[in-house]
Amino acid sequence: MKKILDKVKSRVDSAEVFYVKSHSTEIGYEGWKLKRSSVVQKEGYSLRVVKNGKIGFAATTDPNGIDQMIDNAVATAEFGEQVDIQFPGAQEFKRPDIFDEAVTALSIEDLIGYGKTFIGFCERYRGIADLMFEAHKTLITAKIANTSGLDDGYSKTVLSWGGYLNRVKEGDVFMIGDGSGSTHLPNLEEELRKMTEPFHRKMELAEEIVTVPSGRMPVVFDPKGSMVLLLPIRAGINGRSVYTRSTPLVDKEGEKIFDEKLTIYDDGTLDRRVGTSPFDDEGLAKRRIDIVDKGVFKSFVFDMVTAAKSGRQSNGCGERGIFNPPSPSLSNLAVATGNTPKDEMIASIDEGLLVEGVLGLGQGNILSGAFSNPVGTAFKIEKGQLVGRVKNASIAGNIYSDLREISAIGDEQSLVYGSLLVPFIRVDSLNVAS
Amino acid sequence: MRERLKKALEKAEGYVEIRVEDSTNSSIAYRNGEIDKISAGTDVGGCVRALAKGGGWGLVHFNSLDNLEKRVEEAIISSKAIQPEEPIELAKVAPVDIEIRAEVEDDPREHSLEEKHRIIKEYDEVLRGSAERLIDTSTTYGDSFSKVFFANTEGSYFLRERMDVLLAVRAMARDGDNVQSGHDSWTSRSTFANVKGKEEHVAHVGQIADQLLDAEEVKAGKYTVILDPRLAGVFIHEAFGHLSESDHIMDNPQAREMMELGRRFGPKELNVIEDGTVEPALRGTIVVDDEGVMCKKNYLIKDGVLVGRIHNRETAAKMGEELTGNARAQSYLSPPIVRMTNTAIENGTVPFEDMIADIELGVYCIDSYGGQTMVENFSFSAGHGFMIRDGKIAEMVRNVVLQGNLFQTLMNIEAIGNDFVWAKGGGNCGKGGQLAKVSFGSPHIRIKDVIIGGR
Repeated sequence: MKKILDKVKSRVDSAEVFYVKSHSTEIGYEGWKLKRSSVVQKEGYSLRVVKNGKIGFAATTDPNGIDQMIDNAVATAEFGEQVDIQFPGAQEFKRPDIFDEAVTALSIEDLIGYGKTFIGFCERYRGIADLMFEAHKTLITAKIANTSGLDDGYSKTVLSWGGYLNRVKEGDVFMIGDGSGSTHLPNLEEELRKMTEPFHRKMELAEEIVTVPSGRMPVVFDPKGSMVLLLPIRAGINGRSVYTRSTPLVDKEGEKIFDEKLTIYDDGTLDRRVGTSPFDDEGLAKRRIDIVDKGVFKSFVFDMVTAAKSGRQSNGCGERGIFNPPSPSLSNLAVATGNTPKDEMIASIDEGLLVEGVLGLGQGNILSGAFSNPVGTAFKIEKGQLVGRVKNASIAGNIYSDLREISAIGDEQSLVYGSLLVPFIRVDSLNVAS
Repeated sequence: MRERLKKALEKAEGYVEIRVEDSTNSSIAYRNGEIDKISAGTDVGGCVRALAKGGGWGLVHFNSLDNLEKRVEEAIISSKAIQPEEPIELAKVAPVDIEIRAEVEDDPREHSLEEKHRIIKEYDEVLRGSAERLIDTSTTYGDSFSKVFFANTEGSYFLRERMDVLLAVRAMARDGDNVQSGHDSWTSRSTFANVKGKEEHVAHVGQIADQLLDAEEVKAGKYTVILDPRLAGVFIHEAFGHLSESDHIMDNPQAREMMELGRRFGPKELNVIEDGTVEPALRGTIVVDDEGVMCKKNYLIKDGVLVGRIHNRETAAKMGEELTGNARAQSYLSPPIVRMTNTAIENGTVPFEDMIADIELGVYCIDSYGGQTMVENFSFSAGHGFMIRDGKIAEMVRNVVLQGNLFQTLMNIEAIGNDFVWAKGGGNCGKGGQLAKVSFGSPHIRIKDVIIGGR
């Protein structure tokens, strides 16, 4: 890292080298059988330079390509973006607990063992549904150094898993499943048992296909289903859309935009969570960011460049891969819990929908807040009871109008994709078409 | 490289293949009149895939090419860790020995960064000046040149080069809370010149975004629709093509039944093909796949009847069907899986004027803004649309989301146009976390009883 900086610094105003190395082992089951086992050893460098106030960028995975990378970075700076950024200097970072020896010690056989455990819990669906299971363990080493004196790094472990059942019957398809992740080795047998617990009831409900009338009705979003609502929010708070003034949230900081029951935050400092690290990929400390507080919009998320272009400060949300310059990204997004148990949420509905997943997630113009999606996994609620599965229906709306009134938020959060913490959310009047 | 790969395979037991990729790329992006990204990279890496006797697929992906023999050993260890109940068989294929060179007329690497920068900057100006209410514009240029070297223990060797050059533009317009967008892209496998002379098309993208602000939302309901060739191509790729991927069908008796060869899928005029050999090269043209199987033109639907599907060596052996040349890996970081290449609805006979003439009320759906399928159910957003009233194209509408059941929808195809084109833009198809460069083609098609969602 030092060597690269030494080589480039006389040719530019300032420079930053980012290095990432990852070593992961993965296994995959398909059709009830272990199908894949792989090892991935990746490493590469990327170099960002500022020359005459303009930014240049280049990257390489070729250990013999460092000099080429330096030349490329200097060459691109001639046409680069004119932005006033100062690379941060060295600082004492708080070190969250994101490394677990036990994860690095996992062998291929251990991962295969988890697959067998999952199959054990799903045995009753053999011949009825197709089974898929994946487990990955990864050791990541990240380093960053710049001409302001920062030269730091961290190591992190990530274990992630996911298991799915896919039932195809007379042209009808029903898919259920779940997955999660952690930086530490949990009691995975227990996690998998809990994960498969709801499968039985859902398979039963899926036998009964019911219809819903078109019109506005109460809709309960399960933590996975609520991605429909969170994706437009995630797009709307991205610092990139601030200076372009393309987000409806422009100039709305401090304004009440949603129901006061809704509080959303991002926290990249939490121990043992996959989105956590001591600093972001530009060397700024991670922190908790209040995005929506009791319905009031509080903050966008910025990296250094989007912040500078918006006349703001980065709030430590720069994320990058080897071949891409940083861009604003969330670490561990969470929706704060409310006070309604999920059973109660459903029990008080006369006629409505429970949505666990939709098709076409993120498609269409989500930046405007709009969503319009056919339901993927959804169940009808009748007189407080789940009565069957709903197909061929769709939900549509716009978060900036439909989340002005939220009737209840669940009293428990669930981990979605290993990094999002989300409770059940109930909206009393949402447009359903069937 | 041929010798290095062969040497690394000398002591290998069972089936082993090595794929090494060496690529360079550069990209320039303008956003709202300012440079947004300019970068250049070199990427080198490899993948060893092993199938030990009685084992499963063992894979090792790596950046460092220093010790290929060691990577081969690691892959064999991975392979032995898996003990499938039934042994994995590979369909027999004659060893290939072929070098496929990129046929480049005008090499982007011979054009200066300064020139590329100037062209993109000018397009961005054209785009920004194309309409009044644009709030966000982006213009992206990218080129890449890659070499893939492949060798396996059966004696196959290939070198496959490809060059790609891309221009993509996107515009967003806003009026109060109403935000609309337009996009387009142009790709070439042979010439830098393809990014030049696109001023009018670039301006059109901004105009569409602006016009959509004033368009009414389409009224939800069931309509007779006409899909433009691009949307029809995306539709056949997404909604039908993915179901033809044998890796999903192979171990799933229900899916096998659903995709039984001989089943009627559409009217007798409907022919759907998959072809990785189309020349001049399209994005999906690969000639030889990532298992060393030569590509060919494959019919999936012929005269409305399902007649084929796409395979890799494992699925073809297991299902006892012919190889099609559809094993593709995004890069050295990915295993080859069953993927589409160039997918198309073949040309029909109905002129557009005849297709539209007797539609009293319908929707003309143009371009694609993304879509998703869950086996037989699909949902697609058109870029935009026009109402069809009394046989004529009427006012523009927005938020045109098509939904439905694939089997019903294919059976409801009423007319296939005589104006076939391969989409000019770039398509990246996602599956199993991998992107594959693909193309799609179609003439206009007319379908009855399509559900259009909306407010």
